[in-house]
Amino acid sequence: MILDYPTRFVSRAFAATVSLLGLAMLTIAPAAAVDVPDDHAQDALIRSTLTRFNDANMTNDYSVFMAKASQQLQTQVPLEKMAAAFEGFRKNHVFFEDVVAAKYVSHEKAVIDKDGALVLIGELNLDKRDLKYNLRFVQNDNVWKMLFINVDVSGKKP
Amino acid sequence: MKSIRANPTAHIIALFALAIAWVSPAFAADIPDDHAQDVLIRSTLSTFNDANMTNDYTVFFAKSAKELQALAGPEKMSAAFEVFRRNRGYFENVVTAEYESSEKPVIDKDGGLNLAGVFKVDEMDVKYNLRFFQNDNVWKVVSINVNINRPKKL
Repeated sequence: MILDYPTRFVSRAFAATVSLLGLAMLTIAPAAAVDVPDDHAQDALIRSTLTRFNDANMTNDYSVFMAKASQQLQTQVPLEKMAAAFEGFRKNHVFFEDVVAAKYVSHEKAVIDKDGALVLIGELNLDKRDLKYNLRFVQNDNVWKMLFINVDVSGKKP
Repeated sequence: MKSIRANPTAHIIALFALAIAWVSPAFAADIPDDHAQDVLIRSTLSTFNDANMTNDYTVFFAKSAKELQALAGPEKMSAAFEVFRRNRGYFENVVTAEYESSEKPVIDKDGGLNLAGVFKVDEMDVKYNLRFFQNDNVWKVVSINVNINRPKKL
């Protein structure tokens, strides 16, 4: 049973056009016996999630991003709050459509944490910037759905 | 002029096109390099697939060319692409899929960038034919035609 979903929003700015915003959710859920997806499935999860997130930031329309997120996230965060949380990306024009074709700089070994969430962390090399991601997914009806996203883009804007 | 075509054939093949014949002055735009083409193709198809999966075309609409926006709103797009939802013709893994083939990109006489090819997505062949116009020096989708071919189940 999920007991609590406190949310926190983190906003930081580094040099130049750098923006970091995170939408973090803490959940206490029973660990489920699920397998870590294979590398290809992890890659698809990462890129599709980041592409969708970027689409939302580019259009200031988080409806699709939210619709594809986990029910836990949908329950806790209204669209307006989501848009406000990521306003820094729009304000600073921190967009990264090229994430679909970006190469990995590094990535941590995928793990399923004690709450049954899949944790994917790594760094992608965009055309002229680096993007660090920290994503967390939970299973809804046997499909991995996003519960948490933290993206940090560093470097000069192309 | 806008045309919407459907061509369902054997075993849940879904073809839908939202095509626009547009007469605009040709301009000197360069064909993007291979990497930029790849980004355009995958990001467009990913956004399109998200729209189909959620039946929410507002983001796809917002990212499309103003020429397309002038002709088809999100509701019209939803109706046009209903067959994808009905047949669950989804291809989320297009972001990582391998190309089976691709045609040489061309810029047509109206300045439209045409990108066509086929992805192998899981067990499906996803054939795409995309056309882009430049709006403020950014390529935006003005026409999309996707044909999903599923293998026969034995």
